[in-house]
Amino acid sequence: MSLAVLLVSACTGVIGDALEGPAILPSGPPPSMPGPGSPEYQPGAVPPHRLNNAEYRNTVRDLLDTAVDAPAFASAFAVIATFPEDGQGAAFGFDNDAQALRLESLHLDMYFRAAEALVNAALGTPGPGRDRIVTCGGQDSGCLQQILGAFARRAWRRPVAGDEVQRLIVLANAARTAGGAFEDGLRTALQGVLISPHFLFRVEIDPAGLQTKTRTLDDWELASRLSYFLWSSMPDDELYGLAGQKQLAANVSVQITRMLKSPKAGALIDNYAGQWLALRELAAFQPDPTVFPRFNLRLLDDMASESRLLMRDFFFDDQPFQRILAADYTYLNARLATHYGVAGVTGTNFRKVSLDAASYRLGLLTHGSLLALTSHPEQTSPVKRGRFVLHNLLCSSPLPPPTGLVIPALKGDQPAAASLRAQLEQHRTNPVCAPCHREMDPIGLAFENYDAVGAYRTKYAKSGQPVDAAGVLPTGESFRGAVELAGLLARDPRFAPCALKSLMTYAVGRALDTDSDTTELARLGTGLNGPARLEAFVRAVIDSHPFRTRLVTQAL
Amino acid sequence: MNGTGRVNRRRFLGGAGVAIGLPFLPSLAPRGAAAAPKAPLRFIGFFIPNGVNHAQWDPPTTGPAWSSASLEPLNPVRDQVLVLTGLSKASANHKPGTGCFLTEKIVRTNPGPIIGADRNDISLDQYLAQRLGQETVLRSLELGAESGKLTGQCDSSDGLIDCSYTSAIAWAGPSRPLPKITDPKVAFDRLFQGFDPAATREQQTYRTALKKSVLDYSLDEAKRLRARLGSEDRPKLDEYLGGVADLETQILRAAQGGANGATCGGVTAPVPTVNQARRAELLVDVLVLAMKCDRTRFATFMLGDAGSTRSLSVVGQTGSHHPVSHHGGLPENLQKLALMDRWEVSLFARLLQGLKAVTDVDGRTVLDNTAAVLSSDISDGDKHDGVNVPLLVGGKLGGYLRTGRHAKYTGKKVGHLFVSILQGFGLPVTQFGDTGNGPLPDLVA
Repeated sequence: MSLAVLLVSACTGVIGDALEGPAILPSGPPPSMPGPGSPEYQPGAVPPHRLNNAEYRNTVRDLLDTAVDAPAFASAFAVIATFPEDGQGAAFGFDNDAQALRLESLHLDMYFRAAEALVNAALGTPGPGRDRIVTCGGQDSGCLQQILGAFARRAWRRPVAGDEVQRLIVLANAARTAGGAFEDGLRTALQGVLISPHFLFRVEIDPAGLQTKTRTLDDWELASRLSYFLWSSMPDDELYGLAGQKQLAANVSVQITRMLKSPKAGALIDNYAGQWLALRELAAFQPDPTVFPRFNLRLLDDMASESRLLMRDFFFDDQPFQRILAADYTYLNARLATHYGVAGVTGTNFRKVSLDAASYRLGLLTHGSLLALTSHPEQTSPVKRGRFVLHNLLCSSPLPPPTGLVIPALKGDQPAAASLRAQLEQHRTNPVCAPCHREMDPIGLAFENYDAVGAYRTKYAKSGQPVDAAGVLPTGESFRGAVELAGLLARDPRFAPCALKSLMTYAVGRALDTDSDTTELARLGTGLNGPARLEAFVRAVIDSHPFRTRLVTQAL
Repeated sequence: MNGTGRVNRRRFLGGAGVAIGLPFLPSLAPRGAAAAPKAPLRFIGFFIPNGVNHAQWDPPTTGPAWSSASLEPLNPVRDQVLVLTGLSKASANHKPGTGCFLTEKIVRTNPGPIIGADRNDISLDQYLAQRLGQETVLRSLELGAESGKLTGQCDSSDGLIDCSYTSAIAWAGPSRPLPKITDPKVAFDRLFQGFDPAATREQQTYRTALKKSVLDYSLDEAKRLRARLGSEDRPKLDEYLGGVADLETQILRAAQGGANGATCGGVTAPVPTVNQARRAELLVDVLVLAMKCDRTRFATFMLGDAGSTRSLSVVGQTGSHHPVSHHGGLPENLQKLALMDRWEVSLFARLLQGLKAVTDVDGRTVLDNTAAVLSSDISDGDKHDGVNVPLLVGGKLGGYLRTGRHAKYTGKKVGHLFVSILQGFGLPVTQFGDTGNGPLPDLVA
């Protein structure tokens, strides 16, 4: 990609179409930056953050080393798999938005059942999992204190006060008073640790009597912010060690490098990219079996694997992130290659395959995964596809239709055939629809060469009419189809700032909606307006004020 | 329990003068009372998405001889069914129409986020549960056959709208949509966990004591933590405290065997399945079990979420529900919709038949003592309107409702029906939601 093109685009500014949220590419000198010390600085509040389902699952995996004896934990994870679905934040729909993570008695019921099953599995069989928790052999209160203190410290992600351990011992003793053995007491107290609000919530408690409006997070809090951002899990011993020595803030850069190399960083793909790009929704996609009789769940899995593998490259390797939209290679196995009409790929394992003119594909947006999940079960939806690109990738989704708008049915028969383009033309001639659809529709129609399950086609199956995927963007740039559009989108100056905004929203678990957030995004965007690795985005987010500081909320 | 006395001393209702006495709860029963125990009343909200094909739904004649193609599965329980036509909803369109399903609140088309704003209102089931739900293991049970998200922006032709409006019909308050269980086995466990007939009394006592001590500990920790937080952060801890208190009540009641084990008999857990239609059946069966064993008296079931795109393969057809519901007047689409409607009605019939098969403590059937209300988010998929919504009531609500007929109304709202139901429960209510400013006439036996 040409750097010059990007810079030129950036200088022209693209504010006009960014109806949602601020445009964050500055066209003049960088704005002034009121930081945490400034009276104008106002980050958004982050209330106690209930662990979402993915965070809970990963946290107990790491806390109890469940991989050591996976069969023992199978029933516990079966309970966890049935937790109620998490809510989504108002911005980008991330399920780690602290405000949206509500809690009802059903959640507590499930947490209680999970805690019982987890503790029974952890203590049930002798081995390294049990040994990590039961670190002494006696049945005296000194041993109990040692076990519970160490376990609570790891589970609650911070040093634990003496009276907190004491209350756990009281709980253990209550079980023994009721007629249980030492082990029953221990089990009960460990369950207490796991349904304590200190475990289920990530709480950032402001010191009493603090006079400032904001404060910098301490090293323990920073450790949790880092680990839940990059791993969707609790901090590991190294992070705890640094936090205990108050050395974490000073060594964040090294830790980021280490953490991104860990397999646990795959959570960024599953949870951040999986939601930003909606790929997690793919599992629920059910194409109409009568229209696509040969489509099956294995193909759906293959599609998800293809996108995950490509993302892995662009998340963790040395490539400019923007190029993910125009990657000239992908990963295929025989099944998916056959589905795509690409010859010469054999076996069930995925391999890297170069894309050329004969492949009719380029970049992430031409993956079967995204093409399917932006479709209806029986046919494509250019509107959904266009909206996805604008909303998810460019952060310039149109405002919602005005309240009370009656959306008239488009004229014509069922939009199953080539009349689709003609039907959508009605959007452009209707002044109510045109402002939103003049960009949405051409982008969506560019992908008409791929059907609702992502297979390539040159004509519509029902009508036999040829597909016309050419179009013109409001900028005047024209394209002949998805492959050319992919190149334009990879250079679209709205893409990198949108990626940054979504990543920071995910990292802090709240909508970035204050003036200070806007200023901060603009400042960081300035440093990233050329081709940049995703790691640069990650580092920018971690070094930002919203990530390192919090709005103080005082007890009244 | 403030107000319980008023609730339980049910008044004489209707011309027939049916005296409704105390519900069956031994501890509150008057000593030495020899009369047959009074059975509890139940309410079930049953949601079907995308409206219906009225041509095959609405019976052409009113009165007891009603019949229509889509309602045919109800024939075995037709004497217990009230078909209502001509009523309008407070809000139409998929998402407002779903959010207001049991609230009858006028919800704007784009209500935005629910957090921190009074948007919707309490739903009928929760209104009842909060007043009358203290006697069972669970105050209420929320089930659904499709798994939707609560909160966040849901995109659609309706514009940006909080996802809660699409996936919740049970609202414990204006900003408190309740999550629903979509797995029959989880629902079963929620009803019957800790209930172990094989355990000795000592074992039971011990297990309950352990659970209670963990919950007491959690409650104490949460209170301590709450005291250290700022006022903006406290609502999250309040949610936690409320949840723990509920769970504690639940565990103690379950240990006592629930309020009414008499009708229960043996129970077996459902076998998990991936088959959509079968899973919906199993959820209905759990609903029956919940009522049969008196684990709860107030429940909701969403057969689909707002604007459900469920594949029509459940009725052997192509396409998916929502797109086809925009039928455009095409006979092919209308026929598919009618088949879907009939499938949905057959699940409602399964529920009613299940309740009818259980003898209640008063010798009648559980269905006799229930009001199960089926309706939808919209009336017609093409119009997206809320005029003449499909509406069925199953059960006589303790003899209060005059069932076994089709009644046609003009100018009346679903809210009026809700007021009638509340009065049937003995609650002195004359207003509910934005539309219920009095009871529905000509409804009561």
